Amino acid sequence: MKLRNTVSLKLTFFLIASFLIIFLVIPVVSVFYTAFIDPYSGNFTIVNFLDFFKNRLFIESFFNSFYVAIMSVILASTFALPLSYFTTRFQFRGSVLIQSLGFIPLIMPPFVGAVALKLLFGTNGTVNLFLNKWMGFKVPFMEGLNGVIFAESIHYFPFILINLVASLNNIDKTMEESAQNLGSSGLNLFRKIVLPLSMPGYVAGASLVFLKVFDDLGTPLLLDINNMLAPQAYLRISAIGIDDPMGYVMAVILVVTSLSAMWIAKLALAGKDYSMLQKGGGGLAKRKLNFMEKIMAYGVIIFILFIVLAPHIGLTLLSFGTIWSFSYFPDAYTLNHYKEIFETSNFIKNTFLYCSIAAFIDILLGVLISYIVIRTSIRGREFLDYIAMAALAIPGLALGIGYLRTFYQYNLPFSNQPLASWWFIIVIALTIRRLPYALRACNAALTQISIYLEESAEVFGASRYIILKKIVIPLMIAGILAGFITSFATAAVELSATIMLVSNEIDAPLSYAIYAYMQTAAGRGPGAALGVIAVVIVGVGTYFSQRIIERKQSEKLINLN
Amino acid sequence: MYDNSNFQTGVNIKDVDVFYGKNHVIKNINIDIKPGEFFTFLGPSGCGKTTLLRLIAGFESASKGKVIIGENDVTTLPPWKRNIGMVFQNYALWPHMSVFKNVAFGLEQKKIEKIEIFSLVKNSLELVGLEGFENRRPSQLSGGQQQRVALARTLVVKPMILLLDEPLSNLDAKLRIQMRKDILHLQRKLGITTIFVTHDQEEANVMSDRVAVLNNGIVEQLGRPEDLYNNPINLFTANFLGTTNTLEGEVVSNNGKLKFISKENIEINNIKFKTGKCKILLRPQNFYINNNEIKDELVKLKGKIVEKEFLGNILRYTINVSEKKILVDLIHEDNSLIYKIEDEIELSFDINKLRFLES
Repeated sequence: MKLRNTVSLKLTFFLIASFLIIFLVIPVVSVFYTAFIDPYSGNFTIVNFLDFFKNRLFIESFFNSFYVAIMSVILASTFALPLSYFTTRFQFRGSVLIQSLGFIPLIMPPFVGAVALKLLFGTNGTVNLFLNKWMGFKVPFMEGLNGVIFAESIHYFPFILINLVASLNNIDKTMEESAQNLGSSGLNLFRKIVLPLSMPGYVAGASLVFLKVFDDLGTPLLLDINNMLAPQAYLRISAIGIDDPMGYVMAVILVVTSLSAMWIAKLALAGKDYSMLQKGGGGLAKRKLNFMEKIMAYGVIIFILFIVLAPHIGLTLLSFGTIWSFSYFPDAYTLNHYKEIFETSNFIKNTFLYCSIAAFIDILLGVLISYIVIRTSIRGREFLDYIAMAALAIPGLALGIGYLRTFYQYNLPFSNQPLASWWFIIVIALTIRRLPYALRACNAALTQISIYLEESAEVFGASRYIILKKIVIPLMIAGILAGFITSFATAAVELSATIMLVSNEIDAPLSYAIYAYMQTAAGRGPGAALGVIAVVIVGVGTYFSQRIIERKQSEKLINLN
Repeated sequence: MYDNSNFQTGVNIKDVDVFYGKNHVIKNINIDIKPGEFFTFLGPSGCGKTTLLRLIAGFESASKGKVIIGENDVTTLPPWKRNIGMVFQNYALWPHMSVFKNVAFGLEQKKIEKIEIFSLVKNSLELVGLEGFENRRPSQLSGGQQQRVALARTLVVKPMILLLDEPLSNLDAKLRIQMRKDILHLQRKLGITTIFVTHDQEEANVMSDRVAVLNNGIVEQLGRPEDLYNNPINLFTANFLGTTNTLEGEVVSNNGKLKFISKENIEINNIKFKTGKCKILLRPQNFYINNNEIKDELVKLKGKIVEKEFLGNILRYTINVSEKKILVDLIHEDNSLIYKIEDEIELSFDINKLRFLES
C-alpha cells in the first residue's frame, strides 16, 4: 500500500527539496558553472581546464593525489587483510578485541594523527632515533608524500577492515565445506572460494579509502605538502580569492574523480551481492592454530596494531608533554595544555552546538525522506534520496567553495555581514555533509518495519501523523539514534568544508582550532589536548552507536563513509 | 557413462562417540550400511542425525570409534581426501561461479582434462534434467533447479557414497514429492550407496531401504520402514512413525488366563504376554465403532465421542473410554455414517493387533 498524497505531504516534500537544492545542488552547480566561465568576458569556455593542464604544478598535484590515494589503498590493505583474515578464520583469544582496536584509528581526524606520526616516525622521531642508534640508518616514513600515505592509510584502513570482516562473516560455512567435499583444501580453497566471495566487501572498502584520501585536505596541509590537488584548491581560493577560476576547476576535478571512483566500484560490484544465496550464514569454520602458528599470528597482529595505534599514543604523549623534539619521548609532563584550552577557548562549546544542531536536522530530514521515499507515491520522491545520498560524493572542499561562491553575495538581514561568513552556514554545511549517514540509518530502520504494522493501526482509524508518531518512529528509534550519533561524531572532526567557511576564530569549531594550533610549534601541546578531546567525543559516540546497532543485529556490509 | 561398480561401497560406523564440548551428542552408535543401499537417518531436530552424516563426510571428528568406508578406515582422513559426495541442506552452490563452473569444480580438483570435463559436466546436467543451464548463475535458478545442480555437482565426481542432508526441506510441498521420486529414481539407476537425513517420516518411508530412528544421540530402532511401523520396539519409534494410542498398566494372572488392567481401569482379557507392568500400543486405524460382529478375538469397550476432526480421507474421533482419550480413524466415504459429539458408542478392536512394550 502506498499512502495518498495530501497537501501537508506535498508541502513537506517541497520544503525538503528546496533545502537540498539551495544548500547542495546550487553550490555544486555554481562550482561547475564558475569553472566553465571566462572570468573576464563571462562566456562559456574550457580555457580554465586547458590552463590547468598546462600548469606543471597542477599536473604534478593531480598525479600526486592519484598516487597517494592508490598507495594508501595498498598500504591500508596490508594492514586490513591479516587482521580480518586471522580474526575470522582462526580460533584464538581476543578476536573481538583485535577487531575493535582495529576500528580505533577511524575515530581520530587524520590530520590530527599526522602530527603525532611525525613525532614518532619523522626523520628525528622516536622510531628513527632508535633505528639510527641501534642499526645506523633511518627510514623516511614521513618524508614528502610518504607521510601523507602513511597517515591516510593508518586512518582509513578500518573501512577495508570493517567491510572485509563483514563479508568474511557472511560467507556460509557450507560454501567452504562443499569445496572440501569435492577435494579442495588449503590455499586452493582460499583462492577459489573464500577470496572471490569476500571480494565485494574488499572493493567496497577500498573504493571508500581511495575516495576519502583523494579528497582529504587536512593531512597534506598539516604535513606541509602543497603539491596535491586538495591543498592546491584550498590555497588558490584562500590566497587569490573566490573569483579565481582555478580553484573551481580543481574542485570540479575532485568531484568528478570521486564520482568516477564510486561508479567504478559500483560496476565492479554489479551482480555480486552474494548474501541472498547463502542462507545459512554464520561465517567460515574457525580452525585451531598450533603453537608456532599462534605466535606468528599474534606477532603480526601486535605489530600492525602498534603501527595503527601509534597516532593515538603519540597524540596522548604530546598533549601531556612539555617539550618533545629530537628526543625519544617528551622531556617532562604537564596538565597545562588542557588547562589552556579550557580557559581560552569556546571551540568545544561551538563543536557541541554546531554538531548537535546538524545531527538533529539530519535525523529529522532522514526520517522524513526515508518515509516519503519508502511509504508514499509522491512524484519525484526518489529524487530526494538520490540528491541527499549524492552528498557522499561531494568532497567537503568543493562544498565549502560552492558555499562561498553562492552565499557570499548575499548579506544577513539587517547587517552587512555576508551570509557565507555567518556561523550557521557552517552548521548547514555539516548538515549536508553528514545527511547521508542519518538517511542511510533511517532507510535501514524503516525497511525493516513491516507495512502491516502501519496498516493495522490505520484499520483503527489512526491518522498518518499519529501512525508516524506512535508506530513508525518508536520502531525506528534505534536506527534514528544510531544515525544521530554517527552524524554528530563525524561532524565533530570534519575539517575540509569548515576550513573554507570559518571567517572568525570565535565561530570556529574544534577541528578548525586543532588545525590552527598545530600550525605552530608552541600550539602543538594545546592542539594535541584538543585532539584528545575530539577523539574522546568521537570514541564515546561510536561506542554508543555500535551498541545500538549491535542490538539491532544488522549483519549487512557497513559503509561508514 | 556411470560405472556402477564404483558406487557399490558399504559404510560401517563402529562404536562412535561425538562430543560438542561437554555435550554428548552421539552415544556409542553402531550402524552397518550395505553397498547400494538407500539408508535414512530419521529423527527430530537435535537427535544427532546431521552430526552423524557430517562425521561420515569428515566435517566432525569422533572422540571414539571408527568410520569405515568399503575396506578403508577413514576416521582420520580430512574431508577432501574421502571421495564422498555430500548435498547440503542449503545446496551451497557458489554464487560467484556459473552452473558449469560449479559442476566442473570437483573435476578440476582431480586434474581431469578440459575436454573430458566438458562432456562429463554436460552428461551430469542431463542426468538431473538441466541441460542447457551451463551459463546460468545460481541466483538465476529456482530452489528445485539449485537442488539439481547440487546433485549434479556431487555425482559428477563419482563419489563412493552419496550423502543427502535434508535436501527436500527447502522446497515447497509439490516439488518435494517430485524431487523425492527423482532422487530415488536416480539412486536406483546409479546404484550408489546413499545416506539420507530427514525429520519427515513420510520421506523416510517412501525412499528408504532401511531407516535408523535416532533420538538423543542413540539409535532407537533400525530396520525396514514397514517393520518399524508395524513392530516398534519402543514408544519413541511408535510415536515418531505415525500416531499411536498408548495404554499404560499391568498384566495380572486371572484363573490361569492373563488380563491387562490399565491405569484408567480399562480391562482387556485373554491377552498373550507376561505378567508385570507394560504398555499397550494400538494404531488409530485398528478400531471399529459399533461393529455388531461377534468374534472371539474382538475386544469391546464402551465410550463417548468427545471430539471429531475431518481430515478428508479419514475422520478422526477422540473417544473417552474410562477417562482415557483414544484416537480412532475411520475411512471416510460419501455415504459414511458420521457420529456426533456426546454420542455413546461401542469401540472394538482385534486383540491380535495389540503391540506390547515392557516398561
